[in-house]
Amino acid sequence: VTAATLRDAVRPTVGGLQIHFRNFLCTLGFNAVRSGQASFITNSHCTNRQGRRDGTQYYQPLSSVPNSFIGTEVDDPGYFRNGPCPKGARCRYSDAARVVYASGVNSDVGEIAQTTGENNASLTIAGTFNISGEGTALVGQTANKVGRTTGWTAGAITNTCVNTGVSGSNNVLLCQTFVGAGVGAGDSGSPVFRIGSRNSVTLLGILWGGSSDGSLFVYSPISQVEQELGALTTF
Amino acid sequence: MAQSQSDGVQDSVSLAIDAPSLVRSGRVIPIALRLRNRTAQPLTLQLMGRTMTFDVVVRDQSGREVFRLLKDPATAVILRLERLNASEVREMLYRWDQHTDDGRQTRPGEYTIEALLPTDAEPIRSSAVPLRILPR
Repeated sequence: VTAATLRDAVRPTVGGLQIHFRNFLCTLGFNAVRSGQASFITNSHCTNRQGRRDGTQYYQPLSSVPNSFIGTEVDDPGYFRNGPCPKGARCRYSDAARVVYASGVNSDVGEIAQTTGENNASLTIAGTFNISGEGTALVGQTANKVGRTTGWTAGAITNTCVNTGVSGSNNVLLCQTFVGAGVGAGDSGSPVFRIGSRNSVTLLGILWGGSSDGSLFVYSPISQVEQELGALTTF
Repeated sequence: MAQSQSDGVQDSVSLAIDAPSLVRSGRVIPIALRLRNRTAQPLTLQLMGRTMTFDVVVRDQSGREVFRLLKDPATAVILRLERLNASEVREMLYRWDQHTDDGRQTRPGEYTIEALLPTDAEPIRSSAVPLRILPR
């Protein structure tokens, strides 16, 4: 028997798994309940049209796999200009969108896939992290993420509340957090968290970007995700 | 998908640079990249970005990096499944104004240019091509 990986079909769904829409792959961030709807959160840029509700349909792990349809995007707030937004840019406080699960898809709120070890490149699922709260992070603290490309990585927070231009666009994400940990293409949407005792974790936010050498990632803090998507039950 | 990216993708595709080897200081340098499916089968690559995202790196004679296009730590790390038909060539163009990463004008001298396409594994790399920048 071969253990499942982050790129396999996994039910109930948990944070950190591969998701597929159109011709793109991203990572399922975390499960949440909003207005009684079983949902998951991923990046706004992991939708058909960034910054507007468009009904993007998601599959886990791939649309070519039978019974893999898992849900439809229902919330992706628009970008704004003026105010705190730099001149000529379009801004948001988070790169986040909400997807409502399709009927019959099982999901575990508060669970994130745990691979065999941090920073070991493994994609094999060996257990789960359990979200026990939401929080903010300080420079120097360790943050973790689990994503479909580079698995579980961890490193020190290097900067907080940085207004960050998104390469190749005029989009700016306000007040983002930087972490010196591994990242790769396909990790968009990864849950970011701090580990407490045993497998209990504090949800910090959702990863959306990284450096070209894969040594640094950027995430939107959870408070800003909920500022834009509304209050979420995440554990 | 006829073929997904795998460990052997580097043998299935090639990335070539077409750029002038001799330019005057201060001139914009057109750098053309050509991604080619070297096989007789359709190929699906797993590439970073919502649109074609590539990096261009310029190094001086000592190997020191003087310019990198994707130097920002803020590239969206979405993965795109890009299909290339048999023998298909995809072209990309970048115009480098000879400014270095610290905003200075590149000095006359010998350099190399390399291009990379980030994937979900090792990037697809071009060979480095020589560039000589002459005084104005």
